[in-house]
Amino acid sequence: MNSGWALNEVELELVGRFRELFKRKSMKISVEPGTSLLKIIMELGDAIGVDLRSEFIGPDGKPMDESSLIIVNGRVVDLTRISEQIVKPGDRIVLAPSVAGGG
Amino acid sequence: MKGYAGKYLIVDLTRGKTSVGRVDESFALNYIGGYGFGARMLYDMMPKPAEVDPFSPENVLIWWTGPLAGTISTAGNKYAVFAKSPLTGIFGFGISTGLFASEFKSAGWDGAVFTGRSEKPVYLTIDDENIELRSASRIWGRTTWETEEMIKEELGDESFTVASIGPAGERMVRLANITNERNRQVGRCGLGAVMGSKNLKAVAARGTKDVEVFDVEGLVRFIAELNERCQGPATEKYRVYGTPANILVHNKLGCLPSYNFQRGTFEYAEEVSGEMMLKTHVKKIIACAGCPIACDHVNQAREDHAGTVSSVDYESLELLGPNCGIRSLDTITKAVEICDTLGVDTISAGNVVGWAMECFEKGILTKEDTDGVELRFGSNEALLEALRRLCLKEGRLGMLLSEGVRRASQIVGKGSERFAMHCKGLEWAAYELRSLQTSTLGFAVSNRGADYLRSGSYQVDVKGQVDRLRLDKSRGKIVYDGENQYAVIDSLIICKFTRGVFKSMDELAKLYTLVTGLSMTGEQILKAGERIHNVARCFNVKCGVTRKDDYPPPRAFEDPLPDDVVKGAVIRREEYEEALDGYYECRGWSRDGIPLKRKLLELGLSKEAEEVGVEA
Ligand code: SF4
Repeated sequence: MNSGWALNEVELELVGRFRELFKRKSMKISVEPGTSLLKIIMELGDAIGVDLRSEFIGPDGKPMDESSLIIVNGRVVDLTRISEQIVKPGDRIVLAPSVAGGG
Repeated sequence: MKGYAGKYLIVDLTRGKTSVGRVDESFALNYIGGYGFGARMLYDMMPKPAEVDPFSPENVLIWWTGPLAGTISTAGNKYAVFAKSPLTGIFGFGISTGLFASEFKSAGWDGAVFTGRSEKPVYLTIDDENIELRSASRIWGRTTWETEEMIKEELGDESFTVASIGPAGERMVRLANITNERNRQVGRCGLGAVMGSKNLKAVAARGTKDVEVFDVEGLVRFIAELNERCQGPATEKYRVYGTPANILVHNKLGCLPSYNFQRGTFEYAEEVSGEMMLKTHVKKIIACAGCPIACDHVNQAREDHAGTVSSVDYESLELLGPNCGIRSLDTITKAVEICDTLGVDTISAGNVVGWAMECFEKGILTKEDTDGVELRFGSNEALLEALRRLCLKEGRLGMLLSEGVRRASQIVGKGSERFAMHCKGLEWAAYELRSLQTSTLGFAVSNRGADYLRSGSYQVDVKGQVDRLRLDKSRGKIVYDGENQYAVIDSLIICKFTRGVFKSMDELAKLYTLVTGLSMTGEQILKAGERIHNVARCFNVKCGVTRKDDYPPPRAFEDPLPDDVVKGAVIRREEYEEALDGYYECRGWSRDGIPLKRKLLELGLSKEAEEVGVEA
């Protein structure tokens, strides 16, 4: 665990429209041990009154072509495993729009 | 057949004569338009491309629209230009957007082919069937923006659209572009310099005819549906922040090139982000003709360079910003204006200046070489001065940079070739090589050189569908599939930003059939994409391209990334070789990257099979 972190805290960084939704660039949130990424997303959505899950997962329960991104410690999360991925204290989670461009 | 005008213009600049060529059904079905027509025609018109100097009258300059231009099709008003590139020495190609393509098509022409060289500067006017080569002596030396205004004034008609070159094209700067409607460009491969070498300053087009489509009602229904999808989540990112939204996302992923690709993050990313730009610099958001998305973010500089207005997309922002260590949106807005008005590609320009800054900081270039410019990363003044000199080929620095990064690094030597970020001579675009490795394979095998627009292979990297910090054989198939699809998109020609609104290749084929009346399935149109890609590769093979040319620059293999999020990321050579083998296998090419005879014959390319193809 990083020093300077309260027990069970993770850092959430927000990019693009997620900044507008949360009206901030970043925040620290406390999580219970063993919490999945999906649970955090659902709880965050509830807190701001937005269906946050639908940014990442389509109505058919699968990621969409244009799903937003979740990046944990620099790694892009495979959204098909969002309910299995457990968040650890000290993790840096970024919510970002999908990349736009020619690529 | 509808959609197509059915004819193209042939302009012999040496003799000042024009004639007409025909587009028939089999040409249309096999090559679709745009990229396909250009590849086919360049291959046929230049039988020995290796012997052609790109600046000689023997180079051929080809312009094509696609079947959708001038119709109501969503985001389909595009045109493409082709020639042997003076920057890369191989297949040169670029696409621009805007009203120009629809005016050109509405005048009754699918394309134009320019041969030879005019003795004096000229521009071409296409006013329906009235074609005229006019003297450009009054506008020679003018910027692209001035040229557009002066031509309209001279013709006494605002409804002409103008595609022109600036002073950079006239001086045959190898990075020179072609500009229409002020901020839309055929950007890459130095095709503006080919225009300059032919003394062709501009093409002005105006059309009054309707482009006929096969099934009007069906098309209207389908386009209404597509336009509605365009308002959905698939394109929101383009509409709100535009492509500059990538800055912060790439920074978080460690794939934002900075300091000439020495790093994959930029400590001042927030200051040049799409979010910041929208808040402080975006003056208006505009759309190309017939596009319901509207992604073009036009900036206005504030304190420094107040009054400067330019259109800033992700690539320009990134290469002229973080890649040169620049953190001022005012400076970047000004830098784009310099490139747009004087007429050079912002991507290549930002790349080569970044390289020169690294050379300067390492002592490889001195103040003597730069005519006194302190070419340091982060210096706003140095960036703007270097760009101006590059565009005008002014002094030692300007002459050097105007050659593009490959040639410049060969001239300077002293190990600077190692960090000249290009492939096949085309400057690498704003995607870090070591932290997006599928994307890197896609760039490196592309027909144009380091090309970010030919396969979309970055998508699997950024979506977490593969390990983006490693490579394996399976990546070859991803690039292969993407390239074939993009070849279709670039032949129709539609905007790539709409790719998310089409559910399948069948829908692209349906659009083609509704417009042209020529029956086409998703499978057939994809096959056409593969055929087109192979024709362009065969042209390149004739120019000497083989496996040796399909690699990223040495830095990708030798300098691990230092940034926290992707620390140590580097491309492992053996993995790259494996991925490249996988790609060639999918393509049906030899291990040396040459198309096999049997693959070419399967695609109906018997001429290429005979001239270029090898046995298995
Ligand atoms: S999405 Fe942007 S670039 Fe594409 S056609 Fe629309 S406005 Fe033009």
